[in-house]
Amino acid sequence: MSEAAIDNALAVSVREVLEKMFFLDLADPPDGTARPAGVVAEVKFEGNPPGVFRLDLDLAAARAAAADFLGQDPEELSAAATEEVVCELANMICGSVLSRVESSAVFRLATPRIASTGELAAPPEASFQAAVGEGLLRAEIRMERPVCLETGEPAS
Amino acid sequence: MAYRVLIADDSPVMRAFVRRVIELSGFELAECLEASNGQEALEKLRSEWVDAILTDINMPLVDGEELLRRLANDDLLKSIPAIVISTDATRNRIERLLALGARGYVTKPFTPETLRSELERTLGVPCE
Repeated sequence: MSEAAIDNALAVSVREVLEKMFFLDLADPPDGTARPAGVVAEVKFEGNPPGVFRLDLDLAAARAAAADFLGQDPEELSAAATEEVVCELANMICGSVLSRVESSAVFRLATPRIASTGELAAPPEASFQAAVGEGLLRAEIRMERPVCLETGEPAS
Repeated sequence: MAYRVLIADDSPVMRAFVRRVIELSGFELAECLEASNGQEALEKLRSEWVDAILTDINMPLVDGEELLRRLANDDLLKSIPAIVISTDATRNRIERLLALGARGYVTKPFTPETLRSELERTLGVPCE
């Protein structure tokens, strides 16, 4: 699948998950917006291909998402509940992207975990950034490429 | 008629969300039981009858696949319909879980209407 198709799958998945399960609409981020800093969740996946999905939200976006997901006031939310919802959000987006990218493949998603801020170890295949309420969200996915022989066939 | 439902998911926030969505959907819910994995679900089902089970796949101790296997092999519990709720919408996974005995499959993300519709279809609730 081309990088453009993965880009599209990522953007569609982020929108669909946030609209259907978080009742949130997305908007284009302001020009020149930096990577959001606040809560980062990472989901590693095994399959063909394996890879990693990463979701960065600033605190405003994380609290908005958690409050809508749980039907609570943002001020009532604990940091732990907010992080757990961000992990669920990452899990749902990652699963949705993989199902769109390879609908006939079998993937196994690891338990999402809160990660440290900063870049992925290697550049992502696709990324998507959007404004969520007063906050910002950035989703990235990196897939390991199969090792190819000179014939173009995947190595066994 | 109102129904009793068991939600099996290792994430407390996901269990709370599913419960909230069932309530928002207008589904006739009498009581909602919760379990954090398949083992806990089976233990609750030994003492409490439910009309339907909503289960995640990836859970510790006894995961969703093993829960379906154990339900199918249990004379007392095999008649309780189980619906899988998962992010995994790949064809192979859905076919595998339906073959293990799942009566329904809801892919995340889902709307309240989708969940209600799947619960009512599985329970044979007549259309209004």
